[in-house]
Amino acid sequence: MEDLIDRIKAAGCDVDGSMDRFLDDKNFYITCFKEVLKDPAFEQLGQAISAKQVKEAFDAAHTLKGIILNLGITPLYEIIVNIVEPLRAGSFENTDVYYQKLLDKRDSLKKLFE
Amino acid sequence: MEKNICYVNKIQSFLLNLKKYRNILKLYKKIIWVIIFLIFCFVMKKGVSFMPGDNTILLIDDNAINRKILAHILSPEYDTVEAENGIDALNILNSGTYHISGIILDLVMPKMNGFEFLDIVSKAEKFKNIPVIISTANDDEKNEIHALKLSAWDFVAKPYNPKIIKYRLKNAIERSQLSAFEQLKYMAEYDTLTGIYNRVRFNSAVHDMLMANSLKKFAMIHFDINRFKLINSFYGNDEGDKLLKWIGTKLKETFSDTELSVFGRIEGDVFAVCTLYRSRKSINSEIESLTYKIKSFATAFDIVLTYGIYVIEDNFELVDTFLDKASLASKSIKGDYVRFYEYYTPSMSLEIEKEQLITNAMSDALKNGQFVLYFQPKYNLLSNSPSGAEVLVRWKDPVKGIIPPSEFIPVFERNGFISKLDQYVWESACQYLRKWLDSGINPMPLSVNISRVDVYNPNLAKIIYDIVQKYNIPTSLFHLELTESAYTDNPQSIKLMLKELHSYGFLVMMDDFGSGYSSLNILKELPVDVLKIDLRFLSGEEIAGRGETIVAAIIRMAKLLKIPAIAEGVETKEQADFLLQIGCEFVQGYYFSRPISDTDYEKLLASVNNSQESRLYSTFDSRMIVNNAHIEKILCDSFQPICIFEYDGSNIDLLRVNSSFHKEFGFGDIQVYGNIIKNVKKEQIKSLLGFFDSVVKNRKCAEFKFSIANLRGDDIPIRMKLFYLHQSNTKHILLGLLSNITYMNEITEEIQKYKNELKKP
Repeated sequence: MEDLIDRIKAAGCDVDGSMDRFLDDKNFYITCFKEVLKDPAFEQLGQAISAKQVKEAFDAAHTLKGIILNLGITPLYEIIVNIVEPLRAGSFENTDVYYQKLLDKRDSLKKLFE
Repeated sequence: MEKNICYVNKIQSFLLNLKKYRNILKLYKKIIWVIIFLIFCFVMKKGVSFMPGDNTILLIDDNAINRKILAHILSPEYDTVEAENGIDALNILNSGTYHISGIILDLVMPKMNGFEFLDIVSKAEKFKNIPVIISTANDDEKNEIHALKLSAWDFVAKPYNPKIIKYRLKNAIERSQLSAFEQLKYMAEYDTLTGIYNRVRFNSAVHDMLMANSLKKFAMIHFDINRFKLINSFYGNDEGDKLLKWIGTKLKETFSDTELSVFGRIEGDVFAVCTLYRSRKSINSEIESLTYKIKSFATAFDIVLTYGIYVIEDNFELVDTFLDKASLASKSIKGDYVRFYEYYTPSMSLEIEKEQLITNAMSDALKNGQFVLYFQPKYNLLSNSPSGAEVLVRWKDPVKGIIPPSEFIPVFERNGFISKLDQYVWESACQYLRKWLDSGINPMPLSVNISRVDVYNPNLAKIIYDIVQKYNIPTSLFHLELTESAYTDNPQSIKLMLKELHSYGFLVMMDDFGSGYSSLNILKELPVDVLKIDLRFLSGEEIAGRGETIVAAIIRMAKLLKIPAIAEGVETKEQADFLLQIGCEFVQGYYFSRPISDTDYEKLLASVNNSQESRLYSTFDSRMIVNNAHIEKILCDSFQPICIFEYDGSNIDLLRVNSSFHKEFGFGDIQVYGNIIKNVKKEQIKSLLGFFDSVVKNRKCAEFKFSIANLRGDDIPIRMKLFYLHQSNTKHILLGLLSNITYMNEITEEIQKYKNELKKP
């Protein structure tokens, strides 16, 4: 458990900052962390960007931003904000590029649990 | 004696102590309520729930992880239930499965987002007091502002700060519960429709006021709206509610600034005011002022209020007692068309008790045949023979004995049972008539009463006709008596009802003529067939002789109008003699006969010789003959003078003439002619009467010559062809065709002169 927490910290996540909202329950944190990485919002975001559906894309990105923040997954947060803001303005500018980066970073975080 | 004084002293002391204990008890009650309130506040502060599942928070977020995190943060203080979107959340709220004390709401959701959900919930009566905290991203100011505009209570930003979430949630819940408490308190004390005190608060406010001013005198005023249920039925509950709100407003206007007064809505359309009593005059004036304001409510119906006032004797008595007594006073004048307020007297309490006993027993009494028909014969004053009977009802209670109608009829009129009783009486009367007809007895007409409550039934005429038809009774045997006061209630619909009754062939009598306040106007407007004059005019009069004069005038007026009259309530020989003297033909009263049982009436019927007895209905039918359509045609179409006479063996009264008669004999009221005998030469009177007797006897047309004076006093020789029409009691109706034979007579004279000349040598 501690080893896993260290790896997540080393990946750049704000584990300590998040532990307060998880009431220091590390097991619960890990569970939620894994679920975030599997959240269907990632795929929904990709589909919406491909289909150029602004609202759907924004909703999915906004959802992801929220849960990423709650878990303190800073590496993903730094990417997602570059998708959320253009979509909020109704633009798909560079969203496909950042989306791919998001997926790559997610996949690398998934490997922490292997 | 000393022992008795000692007992009285003990009782007085006990009562004084009782008052003291009552006051102490009231103080304890107040202390207990304060303690309960403090406990409530303490418990709210601690966040202790009152009910199982009372601290359930609804988490609305489309992301399961967010919901999971929130649920984790909020436990163990709160239970949570989750929804993915606004629609699922509404379903959870509407199911009522959970008692939701707070909501944490995400804004961005599929199907129904947070704004849409918030908009619905903030407008829903049952949900608007549940605090909603918005869960937002930390840079989402625009959405936060929008959510606050939609009545969101607070917001929490992501990433979640557990302490902030819990504090904000706790504060929001406490605020909502305090608001709910205040609402409950308001609802417990105020009437939600009118905004004035409800009964509970009114009672306690009155009590407080009286205790604080125990040496001052107060009056309790109870009032309600007459026939409020009808207003709701005819105009709708919304209109009824508007009226109630209006009354609440007017009470506030009238009494809010009045020192020492409390007012409230007791129930339904019942309101009460307890106010300082200075004098009856000042109370009456306040009531009149309030009534004037209330009646200014713009509406199609007339608002009638009835007030009961109780001047409080003992401020320490229960407020409900004051209300009850004021209510009794109000009930005592229900149905009175002149008085609209009354002061309580102790005898009213006894009356209401009696009324309740009657009400409790009436339905079973009807079912068990305790209501029995009696018959009071009417008499022809000239021939002293019966001419029909009025049907009266008596209540033969197996325990209490005979209960007179004066005790139960007013009660039944107030509670509406009179309609059932009346229909029972009508049907029973028809059953008697059928029985007599079937047994070969030729019955005289029966008259039955129609109460003023019945006249509100738009189907009344049909109902009566159906009953009569059911037993195959000729309508001429079934007369109807309608009291004058029934006409004043609703004159237009009475008019229509009379028309319908006449179309069925019924004869209608106006009962108690002269006892009301608009008798002459009613007589002018309504086609009644008979007047029944109540001889109470002759009793208790302050100016001697005035009653007799009025009755005589009414009888004369009835004759002029060709409306038969019956004097009822004849109790002495003097009254009977007086009535005979003034030409009243028909009477009813104890002097002739009290109301008798069916058995005794049947004996009376059997003893009467039908061919010789007076028939009341025949006299009334003559009016119909005189106004008959066929007769009308004959009168109008003829160029010859035509008269209709009424002959009684010694008088030949003119009932109707046509325009040709006026042309021939002078225009004027036919009453000027009256008994035409006075216009006939003395030497011809005997022959004329003999001529009329022979036509009456033989029932055949015959001719006669005589002279009659016109209005100028000239003697006109007449040849009259007289036709017999109808017998009416002891009178006969005949039709006369008149020819002025002046010219003929002159020619005849001349011819005779010529003949005489020729005979001369």
